[in-house]
Amino acid sequence: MVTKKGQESILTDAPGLSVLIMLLIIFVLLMFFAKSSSLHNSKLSGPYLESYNDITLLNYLRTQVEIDINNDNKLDVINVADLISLVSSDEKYKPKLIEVTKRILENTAPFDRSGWNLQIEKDDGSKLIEFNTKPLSWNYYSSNISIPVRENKIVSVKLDLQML
Amino acid sequence: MMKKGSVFTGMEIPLFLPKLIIITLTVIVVILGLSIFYFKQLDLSDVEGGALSRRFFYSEDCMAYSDGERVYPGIIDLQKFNQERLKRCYENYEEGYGFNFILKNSQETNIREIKATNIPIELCDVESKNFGCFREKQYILYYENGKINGGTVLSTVILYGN
Repeated sequence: MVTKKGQESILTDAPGLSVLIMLLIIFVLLMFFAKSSSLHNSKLSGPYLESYNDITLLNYLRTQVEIDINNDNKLDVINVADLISLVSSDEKYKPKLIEVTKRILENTAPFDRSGWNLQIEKDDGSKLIEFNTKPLSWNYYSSNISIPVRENKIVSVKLDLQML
Repeated sequence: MMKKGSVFTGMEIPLFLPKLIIITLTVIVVILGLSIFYFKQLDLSDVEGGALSRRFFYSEDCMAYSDGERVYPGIIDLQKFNQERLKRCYENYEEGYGFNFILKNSQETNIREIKATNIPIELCDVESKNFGCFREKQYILYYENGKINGGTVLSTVILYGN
C-alpha cells in the first residue's frame, strides 16, 4: 500500500505482513522438526564400529576348524582362511564353511538391532558364499580382506556391519 | 521553519521504524533457527565407551595376547583375564567409570567374569538411571593351554557422568 506522500508502509500492507509472519513460522517449525529428526544422527559411533568390524573379521578368519582333509579319518586343524582357500578349489568343503560361518556370525552382534552381511568372492566375480541377514542401507560399516589361494588367485572376504 | 526542498530526517525515523522492526525480527528468527543446529548436543557416549572397550582387546597392558614379538589385537590371553590386570588396564579411569567383562566360550558358557564397579550390569536395563551404559558383544579368540578357541566377550562400560 502507498501513503499519500508516496511512501510505502509495511504495517498497512496486511497481506504482505501476514505472508512474512507465516514464512517465519514455517521456517521455525521446519528447523524444529529437522532438529528432532536429526537427534539419532547426533549419536556418534562410527570410529568405534569400524575397528569392531575389523577385529570380528580378523578373528573369524583366524578361528580354528577341525576337518578331515586327507580322508584318513583324522581331523586336521586349520583356520577359516585356509578353509576358504580349500572351498575355492573344491566345493565339497562348502557345507563346513557355511556351518562355521553361521555359528560365528549369528552368535555376535554389537547391538540388538544390528545385522551382518558376509560375501566371499573369487577374483572373477563369482561368489563362494553369501549371507544377508539384514538389507543394506546407508548406515553400515564394511571391512575387506583378500586371501591368496591356489593357482595365484585371490579371494576377497567382505564383512558388513549393518546398523538400523 | 523549514526551507523549501530541505529534508527533515527526524520524520523519516518513525516511518522507517516498522520496517526496521520486521527486518530485525526476521534476522533474529533466521539466526535462532540456524543456531538450533550450531549448538546441538552430540552424544559421544558410544564413542567414549567404545574406545575404552577397544583398549581391553587391543592393548598388551590389558588382555591382548602377545608372543613376545608382537601383540595380537582381538586375541585374549586367558592368563591375563583377571582382576589385577583389569585394574592395571584402566588405572587412569578409576573415577567416573565402571567396567565389567564376561568371557564366554563357543557354547555360551561363562568362563570368567571380571569387574571394576559396584553397580550390577543388570541395572543398565533400567531406563531411569543416573549413569550411562555402553554394552557390546565381541567375537574373540582366546589362548588356553596353548590352544586357540573361539568365544565372546560381553563388555559393559559404565559412564557415571552421563
